[in-house]
Amino acid sequence: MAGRLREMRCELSFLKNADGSACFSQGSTCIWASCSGPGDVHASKANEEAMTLDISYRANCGDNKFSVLNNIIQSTLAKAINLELFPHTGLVVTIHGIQDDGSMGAVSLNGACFALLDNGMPFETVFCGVLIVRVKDELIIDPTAKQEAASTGKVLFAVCKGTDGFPEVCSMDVIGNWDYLQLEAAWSLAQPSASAIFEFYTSVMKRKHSVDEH
Amino acid sequence: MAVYLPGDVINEPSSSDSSIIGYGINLRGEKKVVTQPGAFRSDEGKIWLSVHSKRYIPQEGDRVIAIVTSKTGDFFRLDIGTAEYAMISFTNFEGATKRNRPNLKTGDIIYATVFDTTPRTEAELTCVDDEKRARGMGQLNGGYMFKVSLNHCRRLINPSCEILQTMGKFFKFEITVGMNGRIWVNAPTTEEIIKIHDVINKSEFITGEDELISLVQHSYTRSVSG
Amino acid sequence: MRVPPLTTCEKEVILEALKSGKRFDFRGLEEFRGVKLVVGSEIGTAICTIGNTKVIAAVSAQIAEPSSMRPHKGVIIIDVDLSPMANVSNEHDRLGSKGMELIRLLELIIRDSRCIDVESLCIRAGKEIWKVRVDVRILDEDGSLLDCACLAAITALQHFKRPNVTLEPHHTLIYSEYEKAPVPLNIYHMPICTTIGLLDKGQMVVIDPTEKEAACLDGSIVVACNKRREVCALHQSTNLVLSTKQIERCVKLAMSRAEALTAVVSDVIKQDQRERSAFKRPDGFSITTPSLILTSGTAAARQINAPRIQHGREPEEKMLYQPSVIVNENPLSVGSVKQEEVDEDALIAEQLSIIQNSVGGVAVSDPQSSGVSKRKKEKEMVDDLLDGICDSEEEEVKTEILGSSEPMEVVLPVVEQQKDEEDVTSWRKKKKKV
Repeated sequence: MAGRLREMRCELSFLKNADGSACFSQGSTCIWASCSGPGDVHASKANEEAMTLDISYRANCGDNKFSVLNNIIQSTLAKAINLELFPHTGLVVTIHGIQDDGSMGAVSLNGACFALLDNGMPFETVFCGVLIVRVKDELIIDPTAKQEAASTGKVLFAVCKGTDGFPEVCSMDVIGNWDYLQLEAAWSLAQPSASAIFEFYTSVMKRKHSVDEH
Repeated sequence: MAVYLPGDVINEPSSSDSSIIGYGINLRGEKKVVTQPGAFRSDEGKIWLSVHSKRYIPQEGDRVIAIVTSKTGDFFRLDIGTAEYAMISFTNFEGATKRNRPNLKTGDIIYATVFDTTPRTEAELTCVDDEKRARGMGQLNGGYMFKVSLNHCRRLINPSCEILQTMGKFFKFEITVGMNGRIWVNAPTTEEIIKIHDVINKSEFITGEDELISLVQHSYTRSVSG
Repeated sequence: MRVPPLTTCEKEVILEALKSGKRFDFRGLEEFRGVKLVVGSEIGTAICTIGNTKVIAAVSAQIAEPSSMRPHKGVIIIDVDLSPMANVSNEHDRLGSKGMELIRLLELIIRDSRCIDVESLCIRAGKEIWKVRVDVRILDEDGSLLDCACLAAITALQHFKRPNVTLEPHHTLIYSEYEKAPVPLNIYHMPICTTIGLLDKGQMVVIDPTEKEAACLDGSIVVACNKRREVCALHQSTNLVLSTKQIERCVKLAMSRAEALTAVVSDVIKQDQRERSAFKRPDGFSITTPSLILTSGTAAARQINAPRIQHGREPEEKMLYQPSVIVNENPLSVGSVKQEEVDEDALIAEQLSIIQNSVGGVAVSDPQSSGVSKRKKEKEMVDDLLDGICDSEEEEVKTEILGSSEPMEVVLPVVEQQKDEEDVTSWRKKKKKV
């Protein structure tokens, strides 16, 4: 089985007011993500034992009080960051969808990880997102908007690096009916995609840190 | 120069005999696990990662520039850029006694050392060392303060960094660098302050020495009023 | 989150510099920052950048019922979103006084200045009108927020095209962009906003102040005007008493700015139209960062090759999953029923294809054949699942579900089905011979 991951582009630290910011795109889908923290948080929301996460995905048009993607991004971040390191503080992550050409959930997860890396705060493991859809019995990785609209089932994998360095599933969001074999096939497609995305993270961070070479 | 991301395990040969594990690395059982993204550095048994970040997390022993926000009882309340406020007692200044209180107002800045960071309490700062001497700490008068990223501050005061020396050939100035990303600069004229501020900001991503010299020269000859 | 307070030394230095005509970004007192305007690949979106301030605006349209007071006028709604990305002191989904002021000012400039022809947005008087929604999202704050937001909103409105409609006696037909070209909005003029900072009780004027400068100034005045030398809006939020001469001076500065920026907006829109009419898909907001920046990176598109799922392993794996298959509601009987249905459909498909081939080019409506082929593929999938396990399956069924009479019934139909299958296939073979 073979699939195709679209071209990825990224720019870091381009917002003046956020601690960590990333402009990330896969193909024509583009998002801006920002991550600020650990900072102070209002007493009503403060948690004595752990850091409070405030995450919001905001689309271009329409009311933004609630988005489906908030859940999976929140659960992935809660696993990737050790929240008990910074009690009584808050982390604010905002993701703005700038252009949507399919795979928005995966692009948001990748952008959020870049913003977190740019922020520089301690966390446990890098993570990324891969969206796989089923169109007429064929599995497609990283679909465009047209492919996504024609699909009969979608699965969004939030993948993090296990202790042995290989990708492992952190959260999953499945829509449509899938049987176990298909899910396994989708996961086997998602693993090399996740590894490719992790490689991209390393190459971008390496370039950013090259200023310290002297 | 290897760059590690959180979740990686460090397997460098130079790290096998290290006794001090520093910033960005945690020891989990036998393995050295990375928790912050950064470039690997090692030096005589110490290993650490050079991390790029903008938000300061208080560490004991750091010298920081703090802004006075209020006066309460026997303490000044300060802002050092962290989640909690910090505070400094009136007595922790050179030559301070119960009668002779330091004359600080809201909005003034001081250069102080962090000496107590118990979690969930406000960090405590001091402007004197153990022998009650100031050693350069205390209130900073005049000048201009601005914020840069934490890694740029560390790079500026690194002895092998050429930026401040190159600037010194063109400008006459006084500079204080706080580990919380704040830099205070003083120069005879406002024009020079503006130029120095510009050079420091732009030199963050400049690597070559020639580039640096041309940047400083360009700033020096440029007119400030457009 | 807290923003660090402004220190006395910062304020003193900035004021001293301004009073002698110097600024921290090497501009003159009456010099504006450069404006960058990009329109997106989705129609009706635009990003505006003034210095460090970045704003994105998106326009969308919906059909709605008009208010009873204005039955033949369309409605324009403006919504502003201040996110913590722009300034850490903002909160998600909370507007605050700054946000409310921004919304009111944008409504004043865009709606109340009547720059859009709302009567052309009417479809059926009293029943259906277009509701145009402008969403403004502030992405980074560094002074001149209103200028940037206004410019982005105006560009997005110029860029936007609403769907074409025709009125039928009993309903309204809305065409997609592939059937009839969408219609742009009717815009009379473009109001451009300028923020002017005031110092020394209005004696000195500082154009386009950054956030730090704005915090040190005495106050500011906002002037909105268009290139026809008309003032669309005038707003002042601080308690400064200005003389008419000072206001005239500010208005003059704003006029020249409006002319320059109107030309920029028209240029950008024209270039985008040229690209679209040449059927070239516009890049929109895709990142085009120069490779010289150290903080950027690119990765080319790549093929992903997944490890092959070895079919030899399947039977064993299926054994592990057997329990779930058996325990849940009689899957074998369901499966067998499915097989029967699918067989018939496969049969019909075969017949159809034979007829098609013989008659030549008989159009069969799409949904049927796709449904049939889908079911055929489902049948193949189910076949795969049950195939390797047919024999061992039955035995296991017998041993596990002791006591219930069902398995016996279940087993038999399977056998019969197989017989049917053989009959069908043989029948098919016969057919083919014919």
